[in-house]
Amino acid sequence: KKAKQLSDIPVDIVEKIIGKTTWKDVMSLRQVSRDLRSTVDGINFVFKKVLIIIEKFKATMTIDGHSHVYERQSTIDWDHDLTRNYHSNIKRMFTDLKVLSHLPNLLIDHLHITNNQPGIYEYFESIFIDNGNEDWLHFERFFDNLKQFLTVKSVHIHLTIFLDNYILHSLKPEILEEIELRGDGNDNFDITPFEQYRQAKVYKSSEINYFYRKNHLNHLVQFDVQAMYHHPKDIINLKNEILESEKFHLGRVFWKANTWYENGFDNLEKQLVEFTRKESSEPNCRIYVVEETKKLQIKVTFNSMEIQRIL
Amino acid sequence: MSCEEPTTSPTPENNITVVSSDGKEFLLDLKLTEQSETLARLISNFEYDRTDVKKDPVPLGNITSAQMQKIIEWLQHHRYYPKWEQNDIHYSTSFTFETWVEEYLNIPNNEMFELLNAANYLNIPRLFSTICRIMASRITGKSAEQIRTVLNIKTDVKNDVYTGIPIQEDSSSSEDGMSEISLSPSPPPI
Repeated sequence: KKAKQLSDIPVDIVEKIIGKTTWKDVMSLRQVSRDLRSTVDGINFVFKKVLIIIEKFKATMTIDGHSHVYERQSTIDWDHDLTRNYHSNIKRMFTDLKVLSHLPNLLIDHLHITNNQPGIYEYFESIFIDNGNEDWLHFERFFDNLKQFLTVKSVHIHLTIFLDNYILHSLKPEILEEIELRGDGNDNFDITPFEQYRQAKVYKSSEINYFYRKNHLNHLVQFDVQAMYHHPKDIINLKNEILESEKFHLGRVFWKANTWYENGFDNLEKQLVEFTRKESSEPNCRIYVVEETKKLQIKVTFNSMEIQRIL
Repeated sequence: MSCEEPTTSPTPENNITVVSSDGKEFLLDLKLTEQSETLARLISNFEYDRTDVKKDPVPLGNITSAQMQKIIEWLQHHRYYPKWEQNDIHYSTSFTFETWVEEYLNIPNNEMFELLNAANYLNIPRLFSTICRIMASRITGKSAEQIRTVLNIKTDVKNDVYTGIPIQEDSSSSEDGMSEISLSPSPPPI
């Protein structure tokens, strides 16, 4: 049989060719013909790493080494014009991700989003964060249409801007296993306990001061979070939550606004039941082994606690 | 065997005969057949590498004489190349090629596809991978419309997959307004 065109070639060979192209090409190939689209849709695309860098004047998305820059030059040097371009870059990038998500077997192992320059928030976000600003509403509406579409296993969001909620919302909760947040863009998380949080197994966050207090962590296998304040009763609550948890393995909380002194430790010890205190060589550190429904070890210092399940 | 000259013309001792689909016979140096896993396995199965075994011509029903000629050209060029490493990721994703390879594969699409099929059938991994990369390099960076031109495909997709808008010359210049339209929750029915 003679192969006159691409459709005469066995599908597994066409898949090998497509496997050597970039994610941008995959998007184009899907629009070439029905045959090609069904071939493309039959491939299991696993992208190892998607890296997104959001900067003032451009956004860059790199998928397994292939980058695309979303950039639009401003014609006028007005703040709202710059803001619009900034939005536009992010929107066009997420539009591409949305297009990629039409691949039925797409899986992204790791999504990393960062903004290299701190301070974007003050520059742009302050302009539209206030309610009623048309640009901001437009941007919000855009992300409202992007809920839970992207299959990502682990996400690291290192931003100092207010995009975190939108990004987390855009990920499919049933696929997401690990969330890591850094940067002060996510202070409002305490009032938005997403499905994504409930499904993930591992959760890490630093520089987020309020999340911990209002969100239960007992569904997690592992967590590593920062809180603003932390009191003995918080540790007791957390311990009780964890005693009910099936999956919990290891958790850490750091806090920064209230350093503990002796009375803090004593207060905690008063509230603990069925425990043994272990000797610790570190100063300002106490270790307790709790044996209730489960065996847990709690290590407390003046500004941190670590709780671990002992098997 | 070990003292043979590179320029030695094939003799019955160190070659086999393959027959193309149109009945033409080719004398093929055993050294060359090492690059084809299909032929190498066949030779080893029938012990054709032994001088005391009678070698029957090998029919290659899937390959024309023109393709066989082309493949022999490839095998001869790569005669002294090291064995192909399957997992050389750096190599296999690069879109730069030797000048010789570019000239060798400067052929129409239909010949390219046939050669790809032949390389697959004979299992010549270096050739197969190179053609895949050449094909990929012709696709990469192009819009759907441009890919249609390159691969000579007539579209059967009436509307854009994502926007539902009839396909125009080049949809790569996506303007801001488009993103609003394109974000339907599920792809439009095909």
